[in-house]
Amino acid sequence: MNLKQIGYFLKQALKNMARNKVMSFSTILTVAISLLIVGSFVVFIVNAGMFIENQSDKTQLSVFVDTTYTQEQAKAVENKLKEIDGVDTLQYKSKDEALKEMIDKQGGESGLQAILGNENPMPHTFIITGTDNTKLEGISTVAKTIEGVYKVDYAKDLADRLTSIVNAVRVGGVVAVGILFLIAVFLISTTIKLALYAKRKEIQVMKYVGSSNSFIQGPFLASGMLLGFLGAFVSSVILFVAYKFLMDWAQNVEFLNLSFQSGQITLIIAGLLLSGILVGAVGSYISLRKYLEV
Amino acid sequence: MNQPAIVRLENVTKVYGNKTIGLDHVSTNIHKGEFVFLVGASGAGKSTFLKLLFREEKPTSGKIYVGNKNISLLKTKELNILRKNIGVVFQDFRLLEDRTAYENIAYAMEVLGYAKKDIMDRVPKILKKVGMQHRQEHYPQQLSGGEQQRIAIGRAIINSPKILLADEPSGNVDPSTAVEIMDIFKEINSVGTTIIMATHDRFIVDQLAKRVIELKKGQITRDQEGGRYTYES
Repeated sequence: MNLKQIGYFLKQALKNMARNKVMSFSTILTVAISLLIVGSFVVFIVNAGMFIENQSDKTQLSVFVDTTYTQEQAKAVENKLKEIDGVDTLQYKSKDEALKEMIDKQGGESGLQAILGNENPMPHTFIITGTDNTKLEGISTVAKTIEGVYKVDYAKDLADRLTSIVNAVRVGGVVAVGILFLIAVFLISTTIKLALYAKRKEIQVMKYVGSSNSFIQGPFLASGMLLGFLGAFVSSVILFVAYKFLMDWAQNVEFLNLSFQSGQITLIIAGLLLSGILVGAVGSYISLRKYLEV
Repeated sequence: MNQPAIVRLENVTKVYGNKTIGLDHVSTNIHKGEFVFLVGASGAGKSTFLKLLFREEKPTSGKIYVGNKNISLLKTKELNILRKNIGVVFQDFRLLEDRTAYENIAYAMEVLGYAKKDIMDRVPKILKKVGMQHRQEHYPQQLSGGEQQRIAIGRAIINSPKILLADEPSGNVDPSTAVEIMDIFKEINSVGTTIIMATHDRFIVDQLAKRVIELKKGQITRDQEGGRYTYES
């Protein structure tokens, strides 16, 4: 196969598509929608993974003391916490500080303060860092047994919960992606089937004069691959815009710790384009095998 | 005949899926440069005979040799070579409606990957040979039956086949046009192309006085050099 032949195939493929405008358009659209969903899954899974990694990296542990405890009682808890193996630093945050932080987070004093009056529902809090990450789980377990400690928050718990959610989405995603790929393949194969039917007389003539199989099949394979590619291209553009928009927003949300990454999206889009071409090739191949008797 | 056989059938039987018998134990030799008429009633096996030769169909049993090759055993590539060497003309012309006379003939070269220059060089010569150079820009529906058949013949010989198969080529044209079309076939035959033609046209067979193979219910009932449409002893 040479360049001239590929040019001929592409030209014929474009003619095929022009002849079946409606069918070609709806095929491209369906492929685009399918691949857009596929791409969105991938973006979600990749970023959720990154988010979880960020969370797991945090070496902090928050220990909350019973709200009824006085400062002296809290001090006693602090001494016990300091003795736990693996504790590196321990920072005390008083009820007042915690409340002030809370009010600041809510944006101004007025509202919350009015509701609370003189009550302070916030607990005494100790922020603990471990000598290393592996110690955190042990510290958490021991801290929970100390009298007066009513809750230990620890980023890994959150990370674990998220991981299980992401895993569930991943499994569901793989199934959905599989089904969407099948739909795209089926649609392309139907489009190629129609194109084969429309050109059956020409195919017959080609066979009679001894045209090679690749010469007969080439234009249809090219049609399928082009349809797949165009569908993937449309989905890539939409995905890119959506990703950019979403990441610009996420950047301003502090705890998400996510940002626009051109390398990541380039890789995903390259994957989509390749998938589109592959889906197109498989779809047309199926029809050629089934309906083109040589 | 001193020439070697270009087509050889050995005990060939073709039974279609619905048990219809196409050919029934047929053996014969056709030599290079021969002009052979296949005659017989409809369903006698004429079309089957032709279809087997360019492997539109495969025989149920028996062997078919074209130029020393058992064509049942050809691989796809060899099959393409076989078909390049066999031109086919049909009763219903089978031209592409959306292409001009010129393009219909050129198409047969295009799909074999010939260069544009070769195509532009050869197609006008063929158009002249079949007497259609003045109608080359016309579409099939603008042409008469006879003219369409000339284009179809042009397409069949564009790649200089060694064998030309024709299935009722004069079946859809009036008698005087049929004679003109036969003149084209005679000329093609005169330069050494083997022609095998299935026909119902008594006048033509009698006038040309070539070899006649008569088929009846899939069997050869007569094979006569310089024969007539119906047997006369």
